[in-house]
Amino acid sequence: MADSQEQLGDAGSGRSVCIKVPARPDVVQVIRTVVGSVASRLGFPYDRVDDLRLATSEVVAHLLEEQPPTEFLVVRVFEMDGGVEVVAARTTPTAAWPPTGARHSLTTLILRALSDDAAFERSQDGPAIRFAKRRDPGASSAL
Amino acid sequence: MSTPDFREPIDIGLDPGSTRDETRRLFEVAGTDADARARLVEIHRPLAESLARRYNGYGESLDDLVQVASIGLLNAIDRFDLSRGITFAAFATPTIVGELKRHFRDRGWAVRVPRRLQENTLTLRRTMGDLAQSLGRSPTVSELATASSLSEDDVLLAYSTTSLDAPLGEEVTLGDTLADTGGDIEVAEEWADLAPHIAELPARERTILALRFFRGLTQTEIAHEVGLSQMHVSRLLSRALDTLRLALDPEA
Repeated sequence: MADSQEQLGDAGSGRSVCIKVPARPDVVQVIRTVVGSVASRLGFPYDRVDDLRLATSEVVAHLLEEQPPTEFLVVRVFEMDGGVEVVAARTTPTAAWPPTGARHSLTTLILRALSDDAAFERSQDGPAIRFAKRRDPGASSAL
Repeated sequence: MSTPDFREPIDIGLDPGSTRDETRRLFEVAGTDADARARLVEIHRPLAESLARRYNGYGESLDDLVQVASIGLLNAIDRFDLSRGITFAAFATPTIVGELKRHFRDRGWAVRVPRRLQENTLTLRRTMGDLAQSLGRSPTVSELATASSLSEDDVLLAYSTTSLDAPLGEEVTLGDTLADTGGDIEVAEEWADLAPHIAELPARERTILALRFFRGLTQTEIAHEVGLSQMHVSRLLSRALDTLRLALDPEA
């Protein structure tokens, strides 16, 4: 996991989903469902879909916990060559990004285990966490 | 840096205003000493309040939610068994959250699971186990839909409902045994600042967390190793991560 703005791959087919939701804890389930649904349509094995859902929960929880509170979250889900990429962002800036401390460690380590690539970055929408996962374990792809 | 031993409980200060010794001493007499019970309530009220705040904004006043959480806290105090070797906070959290969820359910504000969805979930659970065994890997949604004669949307809906909110209906008796596998695991140095919180997790969740994050096993492989369904592994992983988040940020 890199704390950088490095791009993770090319956006393959270019198909994407973008949602903007109020920053409330109950939207976690909505975002999880969207990400899981996209991955399922791409033929992800079930447990890899669930890895994505767990990673999404962690990322959204982290973005919500950062201070000051953000008004919205913007989540973009990209269909990649052989995988999926998620970029979740706060619309309200934070004092420091990427964050530090144990909370940052938890997110980093979860994403390292559950995704194939991930980064803290500043996206067009604001402070963001990007992660990507291949459909097939061990397969090489553009991710 | 030394490798943390996940089998040894570590006090992470989830008993605010008290030492673990005081809590232990109070629990030893709480059954017959009303003052001790009241003191336990006082010590752990911040935990109940922080959990109640997580459910704020759903149409109930925070005061009411704190009252409900306090009932859960009292139930947890009455049921806590010192001999189990876990901290009270780890024991009480699911009890209090359960009381809050039951409150919303009883008031009819939670989404009720339609009967058809319940049936689909049962079908899906059976199909997933059979398919995973025959394929030797985790099935895709498409494969599950075909095998279970459900639409892909129904599979996703049934899975989401089960994975997120269903109670853990399967009673597992492996807990203490599974805890032993944690000792074999090489813990990454970066996990050191999280190790005290991981040590507070129930043994089964700790083990599954370790298998997923330290050994790199997939959920399906973990399910085979510990004798649970993949769905159950998913729920336990999700719950363990929720607990870790709460431990790191009680205000979340």
